[in-house]
Amino acid sequence: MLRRDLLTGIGAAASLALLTSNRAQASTNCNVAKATQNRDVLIQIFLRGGADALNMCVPHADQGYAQLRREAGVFDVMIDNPLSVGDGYFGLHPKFAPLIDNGCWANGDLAIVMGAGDAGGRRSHFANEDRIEYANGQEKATDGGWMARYLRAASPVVVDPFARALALQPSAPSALFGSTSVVTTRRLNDLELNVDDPEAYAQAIRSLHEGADSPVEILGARTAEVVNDVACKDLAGVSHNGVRYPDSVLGDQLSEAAKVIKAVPEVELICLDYGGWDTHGDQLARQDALIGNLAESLAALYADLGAESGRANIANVTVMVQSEFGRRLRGNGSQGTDHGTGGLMMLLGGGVRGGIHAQNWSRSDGSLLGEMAHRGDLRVTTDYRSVLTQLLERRLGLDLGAADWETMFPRFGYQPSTLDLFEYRA
Amino acid sequence: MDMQRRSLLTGLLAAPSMAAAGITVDGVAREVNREVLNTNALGFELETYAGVDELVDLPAPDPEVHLLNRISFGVRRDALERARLIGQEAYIEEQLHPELIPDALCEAEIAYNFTGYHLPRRLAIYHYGNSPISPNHISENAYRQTVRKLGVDLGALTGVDDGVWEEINFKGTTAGPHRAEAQLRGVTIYRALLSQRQLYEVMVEFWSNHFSIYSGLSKDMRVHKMLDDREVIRPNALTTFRALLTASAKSTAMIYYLDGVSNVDGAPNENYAREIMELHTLGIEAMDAKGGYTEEDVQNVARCFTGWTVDPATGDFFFDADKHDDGPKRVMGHDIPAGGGINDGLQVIDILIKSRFTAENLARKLVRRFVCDVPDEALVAKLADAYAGPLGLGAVEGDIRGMLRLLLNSPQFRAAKDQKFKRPFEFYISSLRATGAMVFRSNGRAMTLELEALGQVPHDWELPTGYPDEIGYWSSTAWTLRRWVESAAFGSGYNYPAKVDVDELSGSARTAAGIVENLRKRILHRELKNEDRAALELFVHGDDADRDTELSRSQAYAKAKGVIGLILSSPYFQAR
Repeated sequence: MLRRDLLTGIGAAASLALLTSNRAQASTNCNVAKATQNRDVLIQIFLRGGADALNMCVPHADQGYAQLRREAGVFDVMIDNPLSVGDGYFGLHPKFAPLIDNGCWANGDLAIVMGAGDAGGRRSHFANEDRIEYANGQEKATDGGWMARYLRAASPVVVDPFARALALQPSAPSALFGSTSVVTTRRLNDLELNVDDPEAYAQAIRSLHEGADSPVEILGARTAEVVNDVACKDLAGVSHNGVRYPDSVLGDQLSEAAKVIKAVPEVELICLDYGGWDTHGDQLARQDALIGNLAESLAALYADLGAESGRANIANVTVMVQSEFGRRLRGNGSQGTDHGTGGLMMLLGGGVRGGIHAQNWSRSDGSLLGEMAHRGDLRVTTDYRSVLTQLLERRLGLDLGAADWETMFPRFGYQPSTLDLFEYRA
Repeated sequence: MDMQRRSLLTGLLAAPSMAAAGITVDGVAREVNREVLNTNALGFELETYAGVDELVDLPAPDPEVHLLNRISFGVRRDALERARLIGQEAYIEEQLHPELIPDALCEAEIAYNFTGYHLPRRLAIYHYGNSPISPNHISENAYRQTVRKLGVDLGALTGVDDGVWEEINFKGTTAGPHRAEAQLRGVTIYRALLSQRQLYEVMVEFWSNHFSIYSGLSKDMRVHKMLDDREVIRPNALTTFRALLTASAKSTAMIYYLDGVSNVDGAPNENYAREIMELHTLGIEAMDAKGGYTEEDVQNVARCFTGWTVDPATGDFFFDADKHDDGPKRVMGHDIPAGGGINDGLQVIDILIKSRFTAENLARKLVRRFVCDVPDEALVAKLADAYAGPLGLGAVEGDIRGMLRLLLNSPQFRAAKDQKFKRPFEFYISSLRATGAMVFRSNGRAMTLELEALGQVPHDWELPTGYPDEIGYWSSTAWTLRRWVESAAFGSGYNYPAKVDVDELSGSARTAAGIVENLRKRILHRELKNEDRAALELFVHGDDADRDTELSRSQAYAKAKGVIGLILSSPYFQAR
């Protein structure tokens, strides 16, 4: 029912222009969109599967860590690899090196929030992903996903945009569930209809979807409209400033994200999934590859957007990395870890206050065996919604009254993090 | 009808063999006991049921078209004729007994094209698994010797001998281990396309998705997933949930997939324990609910299944007592005493099968599959009752056939026209079935790529949840566009793996009205709105002044191809 209502909303905007596969011809009729709002573009990277925070930002000074991980014969990044930078108590996994080497860390443009999560969450991937993305304290959508609610609360940066949110994957994530302005595609320019007799064919397609307000017809009408609009967005010639992105799905997605940020000002939110983090077994080797690819891809984006001027510069972009939960403190019998609770969030961008932020974290030795443990999991010390609140206020221009914050984050309301994670936008 | 009589009849109908009720499948004698069927003994009052939401705003299809939209992979003309001939109830009953439906043509195609799928278990593991001596690298003689050592009688495999040796017709990628995956995919596509046992195939897909296993993670898993299809899903798809769940718990593919191999005494791995409760049986609704399960139960269920593993020497299921945690456990309020061995796991299965949460979870999922995205809870409750089986004597086995019979004869089902969105696989297969497309052998790879572009390759979902079954997930601009592109290619005849006989479909008509009407009748089997008919005719004639002009043969052919693409792209063909 909900979905139907939400889909119906799309129809309101639908006034179909010419649907054509001829990009060059269309471009003569294209208006150049201009951003009227001063706020960051947000890229969300969701680590699907439950990323093991303790092996990414390692509390190696705690004897409990060694006991929980090494003595279980599981893994220990400290043994085989010298740690990268940290703050003496925490050390970053060595595969984060590309973000150290390129100055991102030293510039204070990378923050890690340890102990982030949802204390009331579940250990089920599927329930908790929805819970995190709906951000309503439930596993069921009552008012769509949090990004959809944000888009409703904030005015668009471009008047009459063709899409405010872009999911660089086949299907939109739950955070965008309910938004009427989402485009889902791996590459924007893939949205092209190549047929014989394109004019007549396009006319017929349009007619077959016209004048109805049912979900399937609206979806078709919306698709026809987007195909037409995308014909004006030729990303082929957009430069990467000499940066090479890793040859991976994530590398491709971030490279496309950078192009979109440079050439399509309508898009305010970009979402992408990065799967494979459910490391029940063989965790050390698997995380090496996963973290390595994440760090290299982020480093490429940082360098690419760092060389831009204006709105596409990294100063005006925030990347947020999160996962549905962290993993159990103690390793299991398969050189892996089972589902836990507390995890981490990573924030990258010019407006980020860098460093390791661990609020209410007891650094007394052995605390992982005591105060920091909750039912065998890492205790949640920072609610992820408090991070979102600060992000929305400081970087995405959201200024709401208390009642509206309650709508934004039901059962949570206005509780900005006491951590200082972002600079206020000028 | 009073309650007693109703339940008596329900019991009769659910009896194991419908042959007793007079239904045979020789194509002639069909003495269906109309009285039994028409009294609607399935527990429903004959009230009309106000439907939920159509996904399209279009003239509704006929009841038989609606039925075939749901219990098959798309309307095919021969199936529609049959359903109309014998009537809905009889057709449902016939489809509920696939063992009585002759399917020689389909099985002959499968046997010819997919020899590898039929290899005996051990030979399949040897042939496709991660074996150091792949038959591709040794002489035929050495291969035959190895096969003999494995105790496999090649002579017993009629017609398979050569096929094993050569690259399989349905080409996957070239590497050996991938071929098991390609074999299974090919068999799945061919059966969805050609089998007369369509409801059975729909249920095989349903359970493959319910017990979803992603085999892309390891070489050995690909062949074990193929075996899971043969040994777990297919034999049990229309039997009892107890049989299905028990077979699945011992499935070597499932054990590999959800880390059963590393679930050992002292260091349990909770992966399978969590999913058997959350996904396979009780459902997430049962978590922390009264009578449901808790995190502690997950941990104890993991302990119960310690030692359920795969024998590396044979590739068979193996209970390793040395790795089993033999201490006492407590699961959902039931004590599981120490020393139970393999019975611990079997007892867990028994507890899960008997839970009302399981009955409701499966019922809800079936209603979502066959009726609409937002299940009617009254129907869910009725189906959950039917789960207990025909005798209702507490011997709860999970009566799949009984649940389906009730579901497919319910007013909710009949009222649910156009309330489901075709998932990509259904869209693709139904377009082939609707157009009677000829599929070229040996082009499996091209077909897989098309399904991938559309968004759904069989058995390729990485998570244990299975492919989503709600329109929300599939409402994607990119995927919608892809359907249009595929449809256009279809009608144009340059769609590589399949070819459509345009003239046969259009009846070689030369006028706009004739072309559109013939294609409507032969592909869509439903009425068009006037404005949609006008739009399609306009595409053909181009100008109202030319509406009655006879086109040349080649013009008419080209336009008919275009109309086929438009029909398959239209909202009429996306809903089911």
